[in-house]
Amino acid sequence: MRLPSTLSGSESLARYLTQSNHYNLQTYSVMPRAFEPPSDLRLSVFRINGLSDLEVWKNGQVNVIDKMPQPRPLYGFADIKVLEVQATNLTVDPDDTPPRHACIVGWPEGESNKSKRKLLAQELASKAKLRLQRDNS
Amino acid sequence: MTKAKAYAVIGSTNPFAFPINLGVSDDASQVEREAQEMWIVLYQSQSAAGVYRQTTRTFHNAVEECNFDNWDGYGAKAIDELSWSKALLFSQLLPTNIPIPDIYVDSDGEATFEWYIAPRQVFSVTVRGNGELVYAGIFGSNKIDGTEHLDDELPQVILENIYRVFSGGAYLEAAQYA
Repeated sequence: MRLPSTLSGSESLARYLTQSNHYNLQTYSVMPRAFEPPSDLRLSVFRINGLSDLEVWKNGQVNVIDKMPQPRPLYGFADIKVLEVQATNLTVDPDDTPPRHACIVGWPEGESNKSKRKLLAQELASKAKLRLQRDNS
Repeated sequence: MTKAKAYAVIGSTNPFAFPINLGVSDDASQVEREAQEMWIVLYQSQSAAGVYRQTTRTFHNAVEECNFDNWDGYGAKAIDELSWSKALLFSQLLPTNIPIPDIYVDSDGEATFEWYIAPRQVFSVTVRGNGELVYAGIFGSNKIDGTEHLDDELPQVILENIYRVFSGGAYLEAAQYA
């Protein structure tokens, strides 16, 4: 299924969780650290509309886990809607490299804005739904 | 300098928050030795040194697991050891009457302390290698973020917002009478 180049607000994005402390089982929620951007301020996500559950997990394994210098387990993913990202004044850039890949961009830049980036990560995590690998076994 | 003045800490509930000893006299050296002995005794106390021990443990784990770039698969930087050495100092300033925070390596390799109750009841402090404390928090519909500097005492805004995570004013009031 080929996705349109323009995103719709209701489209789902997956932020794959590569660490066990990226989620909280007691509250069944995504932790803010899962959404903290790297130094290039491009937070990697994947567009998962139209994919089966199996395809979503396989995508995470192939495009995230298998590319890590020291592979870790794929614990799950944070499912967040495009419009929730846009509500924080961030944008989603669908670069499609690899296919379905996008980046959440528009983070406040510079050392002095780290607190604002932390706050945005907390905001995004509060809007995301947790989907664990074990829930699909 | 009297021993009482040497140990005076204003507005803190943490007996570990000793001021930096700038004295050069025999009295000052004696005070410093006694402070170190007291620290050793208190360290052995389960509750009093909980955060310090947790910070130390997390740092040792981080050295093993996060000591190279892209350790998380998303471009994270390797751990910043200067940040973690400051984090150990920060952990010694935290009140002993609050839950132990979650401590982790963030995407810049820096040490972050996080108090988390629910998605919209969270407060975090990142300790930078230059001594800056970068904080951010969500409390229902309220938010806060900013930067303070690590000194001998915990900045008041940091302390207030740690307490705020745990049902805000009621917790703060109770803690003041602890």
